[in-house]
Amino acid sequence: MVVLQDVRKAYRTADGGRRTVLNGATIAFPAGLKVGVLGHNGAGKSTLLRLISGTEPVDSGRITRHGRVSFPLGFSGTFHPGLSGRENLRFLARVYGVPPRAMVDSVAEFSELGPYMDAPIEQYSSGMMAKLAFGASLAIDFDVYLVDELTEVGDARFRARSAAAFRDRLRHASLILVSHNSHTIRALCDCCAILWEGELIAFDTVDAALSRYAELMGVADA
Amino acid sequence: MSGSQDQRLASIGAALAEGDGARAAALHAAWQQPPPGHALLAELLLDRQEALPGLAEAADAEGLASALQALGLPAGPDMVAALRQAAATPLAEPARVHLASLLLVAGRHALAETLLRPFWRGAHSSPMLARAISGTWMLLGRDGPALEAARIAADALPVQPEPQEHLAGLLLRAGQPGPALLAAGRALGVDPAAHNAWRLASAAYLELGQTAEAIAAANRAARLSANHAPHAEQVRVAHAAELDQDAPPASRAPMPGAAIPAPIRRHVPPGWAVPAPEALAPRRVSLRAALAARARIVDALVLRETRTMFTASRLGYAWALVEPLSHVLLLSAVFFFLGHDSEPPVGQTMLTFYMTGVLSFLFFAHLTERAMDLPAANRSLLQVPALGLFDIFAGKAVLSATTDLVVAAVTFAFLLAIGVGEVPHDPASMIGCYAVLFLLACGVASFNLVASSYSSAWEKLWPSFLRVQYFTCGVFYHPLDMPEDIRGLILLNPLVHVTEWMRQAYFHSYESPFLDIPYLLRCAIAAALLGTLVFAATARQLRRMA
Repeated sequence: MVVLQDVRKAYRTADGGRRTVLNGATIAFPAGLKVGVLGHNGAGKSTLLRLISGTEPVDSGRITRHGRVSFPLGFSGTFHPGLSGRENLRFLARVYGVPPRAMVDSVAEFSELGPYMDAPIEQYSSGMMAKLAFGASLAIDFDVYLVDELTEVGDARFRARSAAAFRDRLRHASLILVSHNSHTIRALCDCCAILWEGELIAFDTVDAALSRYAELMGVADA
Repeated sequence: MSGSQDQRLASIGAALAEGDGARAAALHAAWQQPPPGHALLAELLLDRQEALPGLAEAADAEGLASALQALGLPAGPDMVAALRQAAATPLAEPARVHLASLLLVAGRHALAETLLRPFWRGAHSSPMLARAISGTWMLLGRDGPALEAARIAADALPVQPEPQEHLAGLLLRAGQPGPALLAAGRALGVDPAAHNAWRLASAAYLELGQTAEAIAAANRAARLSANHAPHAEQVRVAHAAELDQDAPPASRAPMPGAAIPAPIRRHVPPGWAVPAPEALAPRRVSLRAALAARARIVDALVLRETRTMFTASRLGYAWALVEPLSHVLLLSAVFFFLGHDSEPPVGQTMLTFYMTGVLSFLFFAHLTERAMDLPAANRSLLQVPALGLFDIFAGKAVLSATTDLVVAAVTFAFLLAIGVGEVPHDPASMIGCYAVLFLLACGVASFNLVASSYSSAWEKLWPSFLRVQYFTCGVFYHPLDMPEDIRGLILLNPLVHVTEWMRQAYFHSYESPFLDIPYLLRCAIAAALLGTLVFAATARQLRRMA
């Protein structure tokens, strides 16, 4: 469970302006619930996710996290290019207190990287890197999964397998998914909130959120 | 007779269409006295430019038509005229491109490519030719070169929508919706009514998952040209299916061999987003659990660091030892061979005197130097919520300290082995000295971490400060050798006390007259407090800056 209490966050843009991401938002992301957050490009969805994960400090207010919060699903930036896939996985396993061997085995099986597990990941293709990162996210049993725009990698078979594995993980974990894509949110989420001009507006159903979002976007277009 | 002439021309055409230029040239060379029309077509396809203008004059319309028919090409007057024009001016691109496009219309892509190919000069090609050859290659299924040529054409003709549209289409085919969208946007910037560009933009938006934008663009294309109405209809229907929850989306059919469990829809309590009062209470974590987690993380970081520091070298972490050891051993050699006659202030040889000073100094120097610039260097690691800047600092400090302790141990063992050293007189005291030194170094290192993040000048200042320290902290001299007024100043430096402490612990006959352990301890604690304070005050800010 993640709770935001009167959280404010703004940042300076490159052109010297000020952009408000959250303007005193209070919201709970209850345990076990899969929540989508809709927002247009530049609304601050990724910043919101970084605030929740704790990699970005709030300006004021408080964020309480109960349980283990993931890094953004499929984030591969922590991998060291000079280390092999196996060594990188061992590092993440140690950080999160997962038995390294179990982690490596499960990702090796899932990602089907075979001999590449022992190659430095600077030799990986972007697809292989994404498979490794996705496998690593799933091998650690996070309580809250953070997802920034679910991107699909690999061929159709791998996509189906990863979708199945991810759904399976979500049986016992909660999800916070930020996206501008209503399709993804409908496919994965129980309920939905809209990030709109510094406010987080929560809706009980995804439908209600989507139709309100369409209205808001219509206003923005006019 | 004309039948066999037709056959010869046809086989040359076939050889060229298969890309076998050598066979076509051989066939042409063996061909005696071809009729001028046939010869013209063959030489044009083989790009024999010298003879062409003459043949263009010699050949009559009938001969050209029969040559075209021999290759199974339409022989209308426009085609005959285009052929004659291309032959009469074999160096002129427009005539060549015009003939090639007629060949494309006739469905003879390979022959069109044969015609265009000699004029292709990569990035130096004219935009018209690049555009024509790109289309030809696309029709021949060679998407890679087609894309390259399309780029050249689009870059050279930024004010024409058509090359941009062509590029956008190829980019879409290549699975690059983002760049395709940009290209379509450039076309629309030139001509907002370019309906093909709107259609391409719509397709790109769809690929990018931006359905609303895709619909808007598709509608725009349909309004501008009725050709795009079916596409717009398709996009609208797909989006409606997405909005209609109960309809099973066609695109989500299960893959064979992989069962997708249906998403479990949880009952959503109304008002789920309002925090319950008990959820607002701060989380309590036992100190023990928190410490265990930190220790685990620092351990992971140290292990990672040992592997990554020298990934390029087969020696790996061993290299971390070689570097300071080589420094120390080189100086040992110098002292061993040159310093025999000079009497050290403490101990038997200059070598042991020097070693007891320099090893603890290097411990301090390495640790304080390595802490600099940590936030920027570990930007990606800080994206992991479980990792804090403190963990990274602690990992670095532990690794640096361990490395230098091993270097010290190896050096003392080496001195013992070559028979110039002695077994440390009081190992426990030596360990105590290292503990206090670690505290002092960590405090300074923490300050350095913060200072170097705010000012790049500090990063350069500190190493030069350390170089001065190297000569003033008592590595090469003994405080007794100094005049009294200077000695008072020197003794304010805590590192001098570290050196004294190390020598007192190493040499059994030496009792330092100056060593002030309480003073050193006060300095270390003050440094640690200052370091912690500065770090705590800025850690959040530093993480954001990283």
